[in-house]
Amino acid sequence: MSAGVRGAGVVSSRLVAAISRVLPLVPATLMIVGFFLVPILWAVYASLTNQGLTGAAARNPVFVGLENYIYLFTDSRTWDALARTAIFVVFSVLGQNVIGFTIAYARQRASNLVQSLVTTVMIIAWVVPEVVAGYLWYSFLSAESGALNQFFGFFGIQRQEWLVTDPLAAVIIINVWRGCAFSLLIYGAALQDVSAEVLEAAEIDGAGTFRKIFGIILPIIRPVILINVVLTTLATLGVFGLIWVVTAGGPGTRSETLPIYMYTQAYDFGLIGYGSAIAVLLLSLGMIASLFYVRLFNIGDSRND
Amino acid sequence: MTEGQLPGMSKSRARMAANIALTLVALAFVAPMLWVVLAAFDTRASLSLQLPANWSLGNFGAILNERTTIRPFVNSLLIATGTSALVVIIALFAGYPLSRYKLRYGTHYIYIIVFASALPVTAIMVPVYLMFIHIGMVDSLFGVILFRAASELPFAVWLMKGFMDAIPTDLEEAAWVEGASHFQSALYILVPLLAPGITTIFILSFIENWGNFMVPFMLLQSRDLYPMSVSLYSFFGEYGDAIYGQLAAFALLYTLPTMLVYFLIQKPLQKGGLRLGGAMKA
Repeated sequence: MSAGVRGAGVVSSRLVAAISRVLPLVPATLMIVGFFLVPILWAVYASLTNQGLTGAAARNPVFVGLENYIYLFTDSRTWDALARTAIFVVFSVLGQNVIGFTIAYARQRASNLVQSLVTTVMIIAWVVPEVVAGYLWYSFLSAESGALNQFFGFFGIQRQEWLVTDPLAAVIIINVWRGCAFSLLIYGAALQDVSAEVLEAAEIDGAGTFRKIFGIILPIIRPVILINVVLTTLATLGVFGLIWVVTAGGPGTRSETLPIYMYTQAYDFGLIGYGSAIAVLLLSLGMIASLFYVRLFNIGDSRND
Repeated sequence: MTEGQLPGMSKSRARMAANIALTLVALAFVAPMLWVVLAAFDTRASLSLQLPANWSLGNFGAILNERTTIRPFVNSLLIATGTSALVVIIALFAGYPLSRYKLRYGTHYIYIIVFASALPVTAIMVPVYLMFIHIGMVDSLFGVILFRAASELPFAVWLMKGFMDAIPTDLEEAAWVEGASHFQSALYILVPLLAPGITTIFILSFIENWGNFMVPFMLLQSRDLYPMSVSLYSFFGEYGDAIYGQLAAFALLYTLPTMLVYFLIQKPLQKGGLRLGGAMKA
């Protein structure tokens, strides 16, 4: 056997070894490429056509260039939906993180019974399927005799259709109600990692609750806060079912966020091309947030431990 | 939470304040849930919160038939277990090389996975629907399972890698010395040690899929294929306010499995909170 042939054998067996090492990654990679990358590219392509759901525009979509985008960014409905999405995300994220942290903090001082009571109740709100959550709140907020009006009735507050009074605030509150448990669990774990000695030392030095929280705890758990804020932002950006079930974006368009806008254009009006342009806009926002998210992880370092 | 601000306030009074405040919070969180529990047992339920005049199982009797409840239940079960099983198996395979080998592009791969795991799935529903029309997978439970699995995979692979990283390689190395292949050592040594991680991923995925509304809502058309989420929505849309009691009974039955599954993992969640499988590194 000549040296050259032996060399080729080494190379090919190395290649076989290399391939067999990455072979287990193939199914996951195919799934992610097939159901993430391809649809993303497809959305970009479809957004440049007049693709419809039915009729000629469904069978033979025509390339229309940036027409959908021009229409998208000159339509005030888009800007309204964008503004509502921003309000929905900001207040949901703020509410979930502030309430989640506050309860995680207060929980440490409560008795075991109250601790598990509040945690269990919040987790139930979290795991209740979103359609069920929608109907729970639909009845809770309903005009004639919903529980909230019954309760407020005791204090002489006039009955009203809360989903008409302020539909956007209503869906924000519902979303916060559902999402608090996640933040509670995240901050609960983070607080356990804050050393009790440091806090005791601060107490001896006369630090009050306010100073302890803002001077010590929050700076220590800052990385967790950042990750949780980005994570809840991304989760909130995609909320569709909850709003769809409770208000369907209405009354009118008063609680229409980008996902709802996208759905009604693409499915109800059959404007797939235009719906795809909205999808690309939503996706771009998601990608920006997701890049922040990735940057918060030291993935490269984790290989060295 | 004013305990620190009032000098001389005793620990027990701080505890009392925390107990009262948190009990009120718990009540506020529970308030919207009460209606469904009461209305389910009241055949004359309305949207208002009221004790049933006659407690009855009539609502359950009315909906416990093949078309209204049983078939959607089976569909939900198929979607949730099918997706979770698929996610766990594919994540096991993918997690192995990412955790056990030093791959040249391993870090890049994980960056991409983390990036993908955070993208809002809502944003790709329209093109996915188009794609499914082209490949003839619209209105198929298998299509829903495949897409649900794909949308959860990035997070699951990343979690699985984290769980695997936490398990030392000593035992597997010993097995390799004895002549075991990587596949054998993974199957007989690593997988059993991973059981808690696998269970976590399975249950998280199950709860997520049992509750998911958007994907089956957009990808399914036949009523026979609807899972409970979509069924509940269309059921309510069709019959409206005439049958709030039945709606509540259905919602209760639909929620029950998630509660049961949750109580399986309640202990570790309540005690330790959520550390994202130890994979979170910041």
